[in-house]
Amino acid sequence: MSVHPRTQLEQDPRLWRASQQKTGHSQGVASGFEALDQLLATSGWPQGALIECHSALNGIGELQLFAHAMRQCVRNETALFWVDPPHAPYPPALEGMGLPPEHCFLVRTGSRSDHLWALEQLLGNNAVGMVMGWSRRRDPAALRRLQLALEERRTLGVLITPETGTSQASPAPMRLSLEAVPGANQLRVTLLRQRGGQAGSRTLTLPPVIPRQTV
Amino acid sequence: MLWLYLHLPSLLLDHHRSDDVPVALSTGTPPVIQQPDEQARQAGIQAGQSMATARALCPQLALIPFSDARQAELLEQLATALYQLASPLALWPPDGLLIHADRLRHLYPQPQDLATVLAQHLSQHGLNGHMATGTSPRMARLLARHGSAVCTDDPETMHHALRRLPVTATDWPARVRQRLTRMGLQHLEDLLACCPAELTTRLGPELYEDLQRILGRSGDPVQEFHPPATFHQSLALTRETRNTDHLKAPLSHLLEALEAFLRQRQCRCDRLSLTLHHPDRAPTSLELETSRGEIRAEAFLELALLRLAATRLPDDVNALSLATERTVALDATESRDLFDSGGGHQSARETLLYRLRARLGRDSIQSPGRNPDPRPERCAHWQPARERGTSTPPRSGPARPFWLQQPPKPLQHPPVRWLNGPERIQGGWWDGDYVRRDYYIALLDNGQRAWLFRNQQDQWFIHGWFG
Repeated sequence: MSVHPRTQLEQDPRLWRASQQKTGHSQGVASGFEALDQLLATSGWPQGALIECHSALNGIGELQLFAHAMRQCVRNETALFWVDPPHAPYPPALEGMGLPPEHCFLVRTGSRSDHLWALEQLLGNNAVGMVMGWSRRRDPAALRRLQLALEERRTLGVLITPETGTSQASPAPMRLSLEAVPGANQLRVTLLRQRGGQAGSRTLTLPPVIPRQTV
Repeated sequence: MLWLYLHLPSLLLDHHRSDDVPVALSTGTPPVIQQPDEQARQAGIQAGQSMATARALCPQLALIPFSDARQAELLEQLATALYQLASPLALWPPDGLLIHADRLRHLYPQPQDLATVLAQHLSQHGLNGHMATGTSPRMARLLARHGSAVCTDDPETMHHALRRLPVTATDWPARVRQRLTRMGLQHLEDLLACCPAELTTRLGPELYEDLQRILGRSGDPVQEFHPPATFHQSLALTRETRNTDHLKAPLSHLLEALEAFLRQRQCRCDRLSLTLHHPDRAPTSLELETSRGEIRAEAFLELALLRLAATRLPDDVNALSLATERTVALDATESRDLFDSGGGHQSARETLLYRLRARLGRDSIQSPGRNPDPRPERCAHWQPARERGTSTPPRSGPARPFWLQQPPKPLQHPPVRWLNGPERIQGGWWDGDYVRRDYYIALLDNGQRAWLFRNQQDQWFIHGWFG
């Protein structure tokens, strides 16, 4: 019995078809940067897909990248959780970004297992709009677990990890690498991988740090 | 007057009975067998045997030391459960309950109906009991303890049964019973046939008075039982363990009792204390909190297991106890209706917060707070999250960094580009920590956007980063 090679090829699960590309705008939350939205397959940050974000430094504009999505999340009256950030977010700045305190929660965990447990609980909960998590160590098995919890949800899950290990395989559907552009108020975003889309790189000009407007 | 007495000859034993191990109660020093269960009896265990004999006859025998306190607790638990079925009732320690059957006529027209309901409850809970009615509390008690199953509202039948009661079946002192037997008075009817004056002179006035009480001719005060307003129950484990999986079954048993308690009172419990008792150590106490008060046993169980998973038990656990710390009345609108409608995002969020808190600890979940202070390090803080945050009007003002560096770090290299500034912040003269700083926003050579300040001594510090 012989199988036609073309049929065999069609049944190969590793094959990605351009026709399968998701074109709907429902699953993406606009990032607020037009250049980036054009690059993203879902025209914005994808919901229900873990976004793994490598960044060696804090304070290079990594939060500006997600600020628009955060505002969208609190506008929908869903909660925004900060899990084990390197420093405590400064409440006046949260307010300045248009994030009211009643929707923001900071979670501090003592151990690695508690950290993963908390992330898993948050990512798998419909009351949570967005989770910003910081992991000191990359662990593909743990990422897989988190991605499973997040699958089919409308939650945005961002996991910020140190830049080491970008060459390793990762179960996260989206991987980014962030880099500051020295001397310019800009952030270089390298999209290493995304589900249903191409990799690419964009340099974004960050909004100027100016006296805030009342939101 | 009609009374029904419920005699529970093996309350404590029934509580500990299990299908796979023979169980016996032990008492005294040196301990002897007080009461074996059916399985133990088949193995040849009898009351009064020494421990060594019992162990030799049946090596797998589980021995439970008899405890008065435990027995009293169980009796009260049973009374609480029966309170729904047969309300004016009284405890008769150590092993009986007295029910005022007269006042239950409108519910149970015949005493037999009441007895059927009670028997059903007892068999559901695996308890052995004997019931009898009487025209006086004492009469009902004597008949029930003797095992004469008189359940009627006909006084003649009851009196007849009483008259046939052997003197040895009464609760008089052994000395009195012995004397009566020696005098040839075998049954109560022999005693009743005697002349009262003769009885008084020969056996003392107490016996005659007691006889009058048994016959219902003189009053016998009865103190009515009312269930306690708070829930407190404990459960002894047959085997000591620290394994959470083994604790699950007894715990859910306790929580089901709690659910029944809460349902009866139409209230919710939002704070619960679970105590794990160790053999030779101070007990471990865990507090469980729920978002808006909970009734369901499975919801409590989930929280309790999360809490247990996060707790390191110092030793094995031999008993559990559960107490309600605070209960709230259930709103009429909140009772379990046909359409179990959840409160949407808000209640889902509260449930999530309590789950997180149960495992990570009360202070691990925080929400932002604000203080009226101009100094950046004091004007805001994170506090343990409240269930319902209050919304505050958004504030406008100069830009603030997302990450605050506390304490401020000295600036090592000059910034490559200035983005904004200066902004002068001063204050703190009222508490001795006076600050006067000029803040700038600048781009550092590594690409970080920093919040810098220069103090009065012209020293430069990094006080935060714009994320």
